[in-house]
Amino acid sequence: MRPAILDHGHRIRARMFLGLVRRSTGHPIDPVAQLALYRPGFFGRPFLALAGQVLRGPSFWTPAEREYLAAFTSGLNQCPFCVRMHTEVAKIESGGQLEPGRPQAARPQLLAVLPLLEQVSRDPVDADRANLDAARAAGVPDDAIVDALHISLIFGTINRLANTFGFAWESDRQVRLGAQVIHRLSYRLPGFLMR
Amino acid sequence: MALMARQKRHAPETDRRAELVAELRRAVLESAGVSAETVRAGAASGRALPPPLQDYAAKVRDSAWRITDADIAALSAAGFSQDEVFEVSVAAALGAGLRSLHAGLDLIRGRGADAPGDP
Repeated sequence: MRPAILDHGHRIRARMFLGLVRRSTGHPIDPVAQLALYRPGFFGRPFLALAGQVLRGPSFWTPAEREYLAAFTSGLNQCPFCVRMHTEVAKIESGGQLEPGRPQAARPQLLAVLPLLEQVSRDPVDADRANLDAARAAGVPDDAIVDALHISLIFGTINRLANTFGFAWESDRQVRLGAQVIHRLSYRLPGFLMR
Repeated sequence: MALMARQKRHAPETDRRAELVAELRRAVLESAGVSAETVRAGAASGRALPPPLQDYAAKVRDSAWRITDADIAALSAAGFSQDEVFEVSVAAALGAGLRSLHAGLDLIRGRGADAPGDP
């Protein structure tokens, strides 16, 4: 990662955890977790608390659909690192039924909110009502639109950081392992590492 | 009545989420850091910063996929510490994320593109 302090600057308890993960899985930890564990009070702790609520808390959208929106947003922000992971998580959360990039498997409301997300991601300054009206007309409740906009916040932020700090996957195996961890832990890391 | 009951049930979740967004914003933009709060605020919002940071923060916000090792090396060469680079990067990325969120929320609340939320 760049700057190098994100690889080597963690507190001792986080360094021990990073070493443990590497030894037990054969891979470095998910780079997002590695970032979150660096000075966790500055970014990682509040970011993961919000991400957990937005991506796994109560919502109109299933967890798999939220992962679909995550992968879609990551594509808009040109973040192949996040597209790869959240495509994998969407497949796990849906039991293989829903896959980003295959819109024929998605319910119409999910597809109806995509143009609004594209607009606020690509051109927030000139956002107009047409895409919002179209989503409402397709039966997407306002609560669900707000839920989706929070996915734009989460991934608008982490996509930029992944690209800025140079996140990368070592292998498909590392992606599959990381996706299983997200599935099981719902975006949580051990509390003693985040304090 | 059923709709009201549903909205009531949803309200605490909505409040909780707003609280979590505010906590994230405070941590990144207002907590004690090695960079000044004004620098992080400028990185998030696009307001003027000294030249090397101004261009870097704009790149994080608007085309982060173009950032290379050379961008980070240039900031080091200009005297910025790694923690300053970390903080300014996070502030700029969060500012862009908040800009998207607020653009959408403003539309829902009936405010147009002329009244974007302040990150």
